[in-house]
Amino acid sequence: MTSQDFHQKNVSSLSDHKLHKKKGIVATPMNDALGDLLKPSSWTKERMPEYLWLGLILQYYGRKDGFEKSFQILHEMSKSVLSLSHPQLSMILNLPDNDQKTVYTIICGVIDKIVLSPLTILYKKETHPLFNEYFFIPQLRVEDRIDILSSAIKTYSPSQSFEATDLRFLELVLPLFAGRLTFSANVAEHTKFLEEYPNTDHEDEKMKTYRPSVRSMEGSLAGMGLVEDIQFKSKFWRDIGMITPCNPMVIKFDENPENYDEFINDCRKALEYVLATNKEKSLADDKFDVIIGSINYALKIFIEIDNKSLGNSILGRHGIRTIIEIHIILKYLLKKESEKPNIWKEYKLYGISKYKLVLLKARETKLDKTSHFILPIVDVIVNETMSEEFVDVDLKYFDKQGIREKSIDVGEKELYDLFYDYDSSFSHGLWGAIRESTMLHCNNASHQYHCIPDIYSKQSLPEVRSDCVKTMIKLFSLLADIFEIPESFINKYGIKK
Amino acid sequence: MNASPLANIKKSQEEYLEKVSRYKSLVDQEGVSVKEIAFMLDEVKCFWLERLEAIEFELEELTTDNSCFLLSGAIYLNAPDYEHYYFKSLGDYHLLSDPFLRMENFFRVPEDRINHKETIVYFKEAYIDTLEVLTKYKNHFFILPIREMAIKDESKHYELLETFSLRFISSMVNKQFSSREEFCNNFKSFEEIENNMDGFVREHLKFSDTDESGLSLRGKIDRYLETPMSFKQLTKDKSESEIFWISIFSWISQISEILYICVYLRLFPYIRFDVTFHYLTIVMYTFIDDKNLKEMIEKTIVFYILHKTIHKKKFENIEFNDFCKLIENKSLLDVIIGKMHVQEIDICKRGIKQVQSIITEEFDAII
Repeated sequence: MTSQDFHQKNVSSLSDHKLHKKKGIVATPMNDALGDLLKPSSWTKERMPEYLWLGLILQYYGRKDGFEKSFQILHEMSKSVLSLSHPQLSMILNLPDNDQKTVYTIICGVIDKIVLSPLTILYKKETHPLFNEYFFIPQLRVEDRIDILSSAIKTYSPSQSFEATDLRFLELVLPLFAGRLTFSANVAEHTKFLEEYPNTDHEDEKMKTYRPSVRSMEGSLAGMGLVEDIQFKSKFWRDIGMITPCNPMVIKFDENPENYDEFINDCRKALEYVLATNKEKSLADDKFDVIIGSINYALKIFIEIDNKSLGNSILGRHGIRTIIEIHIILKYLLKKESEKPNIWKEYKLYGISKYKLVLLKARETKLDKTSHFILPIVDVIVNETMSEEFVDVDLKYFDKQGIREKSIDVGEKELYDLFYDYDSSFSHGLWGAIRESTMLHCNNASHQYHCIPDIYSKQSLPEVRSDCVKTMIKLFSLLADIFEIPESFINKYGIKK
Repeated sequence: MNASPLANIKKSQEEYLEKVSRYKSLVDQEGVSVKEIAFMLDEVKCFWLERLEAIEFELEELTTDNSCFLLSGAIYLNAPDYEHYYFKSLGDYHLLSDPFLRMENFFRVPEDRINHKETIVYFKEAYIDTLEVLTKYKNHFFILPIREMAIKDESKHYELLETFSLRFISSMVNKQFSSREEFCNNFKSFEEIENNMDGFVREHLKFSDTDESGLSLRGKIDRYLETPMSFKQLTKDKSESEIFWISIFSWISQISEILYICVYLRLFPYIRFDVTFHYLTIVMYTFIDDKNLKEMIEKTIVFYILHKTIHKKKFENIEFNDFCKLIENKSLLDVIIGKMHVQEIDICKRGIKQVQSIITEEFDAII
């Protein structure tokens, strides 16, 4: 699926959303309009388990015969058990014994009891003796019954599938037969689909309007005073989930086969050239230090990603995020230097002040010998250019602006929006990043497609090295604006000056 | 929170006892039906399926550094006959495949196909023994869903057993067959099959734990079909070659499955039943080139010899818990194997008498 395909998707665009600045949220049009009034009800999680018994009939006999047999059962039920308002299994199982017997006798009169036998694995004799009296078949192995149930759950889980819509249609039939669902004559044209739906093939053009109508009516009916048996549903998912194994699906992206050795070598040579030809600046020029230091820092990150094959890893994303941040900040410093000639020194001091704060805290803490924070090293760095006694700690963002504002300021908003923000999720360990990198999709419908941790690191992420190179080239373009770099490098990588 | 290494396995034993105890009055009933037993089997299967992952994890950890023996070729332990003393004698941990799961297939067969009278009696015996293991010998033996942990794809596993058996049976009649059907179509009678076997195979072919020496193939199979474990009803309307196949396949597939499960779960089979052991000695030469498999088979043979060497009288005057204390930290298995190696005994080839002497000596030193 391309990003273009996603544009075609029937979802609200960013401009359709509403910004609530004070609350700090961008609300969807639906949430914005309905707010707390909106109580979504899930077909799969909440309603499907109730009607799965009818789904088993459709699955066993096929659509045509399945509908016929289901109609016969539901019709007889509507006449014989008046207290049954909906064909929900929880309602049936809670009927008084005599009514239950009536229902089961009706069902067994129309279908083979083997069809509903798989349900005895969930509704066992101990708690549902009558149901088992009618539908338990000793010869059916537990595994066979689980397989049939799992297959039905998989079929009827996608709420908009043909099969699920058929089942949702059956949900309407009992109230219709019982006269609990009626329509006035002037809407007859709009309810014609109810008559035609079961006899119309899914391939028929008419079904394109019938199916949404069925789902819409079923959804509305579900929201109209149906008493939800929450315990029934949660027990259903618990019991089927516990007796079936997870089926983890691993997404593996290939490593980018491109060899970046030449690019790395060229970058190193370009930096070496700048250093060699600007020796005087390197002795005492804050601007030079910041630019060449920052670009070399970015290059080192890229080299680590490349050498350690981290392109498909979480750390690769940490890396590219930092490379992007360096690019935005350098561009910002270059833009602001005419207003603030001291900005390069201030920037260095800002970084040192962050180090100093940690240093002060570390002095009050007992550090482990194996800690990666080595106090003497940090001490030397903090006091390298001036005594720490003259360095104030800056608790704010540099220049009082976050990276987002800086990216807007320097015309790199798109880079920020698409990559920096996305990769920040990985740096901060936010759920989106955890889900993508560390959790595997369990392809078991009976587990409601939950996620399970990728403990043995089977899953990999799309490669970052190509995007790293693009950002590195942007960085070298900045470098080329200020310092002379080899022409061969400029031509080879299309450096824009 | 601190989880001890066997926390889930131990917890499962307590919960399992609670689960199966509920069926006591049902099992005690005179006329308990196949259907009632099948209800219980459903509960048992779901009980284990819910705990499978946690138990599998702990078992894998347990078998890394310990000798874990699995009672094989027997449905239940049979404690009243001092079998728990034998089983406890060697190794660090002692496991039993859930007896009810092992019997499940009998109760899934339609009632008109086999006579369930004997299987129900056997089921009741297994039930009593299981309760005893879970109560009296708690933490000495663990009843676990062993087969369910090792075999994830039943049809693939069956295919594996069928392939191995086909190869083995082909070698017995000195002709290569590509399928069971081809084999069955090729022979019309037991005699035809027997005539294709060489003397050694003919003599060593065994179907029951009775003395079969001097019997023809027909005589052996006829006698086997009279035993309850043969399920004679299932051979109705079958040709003689099919009956031979069914009879021999049950033994070859049994030993193949035991070896497969034990290799997969890093367990050692404890075999005490003569026919099962007999088939181990027949098939083992296929496996002993592998160092690990040889070690496994060696330990199994030593354990079998122990079972045949030590008379149960030895245990009559000692409480089980006292016996366990006596053998604790003695590493009897390592000592026996160590002495065998010193005496350069390759038990897969020879040395039964010497091993018997070593075992007797070691046991006499303890009890």
